[in-house]
Amino acid sequence: MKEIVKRTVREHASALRGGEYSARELCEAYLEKIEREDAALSAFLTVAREKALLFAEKADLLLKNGEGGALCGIPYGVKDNICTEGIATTAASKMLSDFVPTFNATAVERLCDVGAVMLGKTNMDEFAMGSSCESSAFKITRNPYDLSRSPGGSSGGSAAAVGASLAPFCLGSDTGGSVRCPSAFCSCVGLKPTYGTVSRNGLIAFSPSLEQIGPVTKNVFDNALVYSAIMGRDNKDATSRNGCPDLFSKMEEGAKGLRIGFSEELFSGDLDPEVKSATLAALRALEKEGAEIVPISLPSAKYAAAAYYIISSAEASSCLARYDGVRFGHRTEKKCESIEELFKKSRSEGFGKEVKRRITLGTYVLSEGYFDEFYNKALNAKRLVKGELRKAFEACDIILSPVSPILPPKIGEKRDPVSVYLEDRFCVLANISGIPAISVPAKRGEGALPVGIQLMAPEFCEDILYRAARALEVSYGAY
Amino acid sequence: MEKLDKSIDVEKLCDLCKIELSSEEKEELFGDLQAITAFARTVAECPEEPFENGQSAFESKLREDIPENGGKREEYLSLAAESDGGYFSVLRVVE
Repeated sequence: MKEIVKRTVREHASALRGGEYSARELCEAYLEKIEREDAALSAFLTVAREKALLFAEKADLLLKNGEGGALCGIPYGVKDNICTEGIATTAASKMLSDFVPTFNATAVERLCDVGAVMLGKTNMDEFAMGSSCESSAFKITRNPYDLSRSPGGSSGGSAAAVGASLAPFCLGSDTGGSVRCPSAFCSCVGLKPTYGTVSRNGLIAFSPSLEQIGPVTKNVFDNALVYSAIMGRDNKDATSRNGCPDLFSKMEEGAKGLRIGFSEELFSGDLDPEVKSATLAALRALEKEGAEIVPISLPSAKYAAAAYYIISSAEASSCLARYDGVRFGHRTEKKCESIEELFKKSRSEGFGKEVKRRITLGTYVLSEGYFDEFYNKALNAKRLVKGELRKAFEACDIILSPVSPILPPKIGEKRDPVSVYLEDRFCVLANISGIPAISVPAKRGEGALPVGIQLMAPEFCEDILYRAARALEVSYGAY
Repeated sequence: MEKLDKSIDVEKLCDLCKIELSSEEKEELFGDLQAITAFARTVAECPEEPFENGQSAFESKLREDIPENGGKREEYLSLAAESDGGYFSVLRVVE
């Protein structure tokens, strides 16, 4: 039998209800594993041991009374930019190193309501800006498949935790691939939901028009379980919507009859040969299962990364203006003569290099004389990409591409910012167009580094997305 | 090396963003912004797309304008670096 901590959410749910172990015993098993193994991995920033055990006791009561949802008693980790009541929420920034929220984000509150057991907070790139987890102000998370490599980012701690079985699932956030990239690098399933279907209330804002909270899990079914628990309209987020009402009934229908769109534009540029072969193998596997491969054209996809970096940095420059050392966040201890000086010193000490780079870029593209050249053109590119995707989805149900063009990079590898930004080029399509996208582990040989396959579907069509993802999972006998 | 874009005034940008950088940091940021804006400028090559085609199905749905009892002043102030008599405390801004 599988070691208990290696089990999936679904397996835990059935064992908890069958009385094989209690929620408290399960919680303790994960806490022990974290204590034993996280020193090498650094997936967690905060382990909320006492609170976790309290959540578990509450879950045991619910289970005893036959109450609670499918996630009752299931432990999980939360990315550190998602607010958790009474537990430090730092966004991996010195700016928020002392911030202890007085409320739960809606997604977390919903998990509390169904009796899930929060273990703690996971590491990330500072303010979710990055794709390697190296820009955290506190620690560098390592990839459980190769400790010399990055777990990806920005939700690197969440993916490393699930990949190493330190938690059966975690919440991440995805602004431009931040759930999917680390899921790909750590062999997890990661969903970026349709924009609006998960409330952003309590998510520390970086780019509100693009970002969504999404689950990182071991398999497709678990992912749907978590997504169904956190999604839906919330009065505290005016952009929130109800999502796809039935995620499960189509899930086992297989690939037969699915039209899979494949675009040369999403297979271009520098692509690691292993990523290339894994992606083509996934396409062939789905075809073998009865899917039809449909060639599609997305000529504007090449503008997506540039548009994404303009829009997200512009929004970041505005969203992060609130960190001034007055209402909350780091305040300099240096003596200041004026409020201006206090702002500048507090912000300079509190923000790291990548955050400063994005804020200045965002300020530049919004400034007089450059607004039209950059920001308005980026919005135009966004409209164009959305239009092309909409048209493509008339001919296909799913679009398949790699998640990242590279394998997990070595930690500390010096790379220039533009090359790093371009590595997000397949992921950002879903963020700038609002559609859902999922990363599913590709079939890999023993000892090979993980590779993720990205599947995208039209808005609100997570049911089809999960069906295709499950078909891919089944095609190579996973779970 | 592409022509340097003189419009990038790092000094002014830092001032607008309310951050201070050392001269080495400014130099590095200048180099980075040169490269990033050169890459970002590719969006200008994109053909014009009319608004209708890219419109999203999303509309923000505001909640009813009904006053709620917030009553959270103390909670919020507890997060401030300094507060005084129910207010956030800052340096003197008016001479």
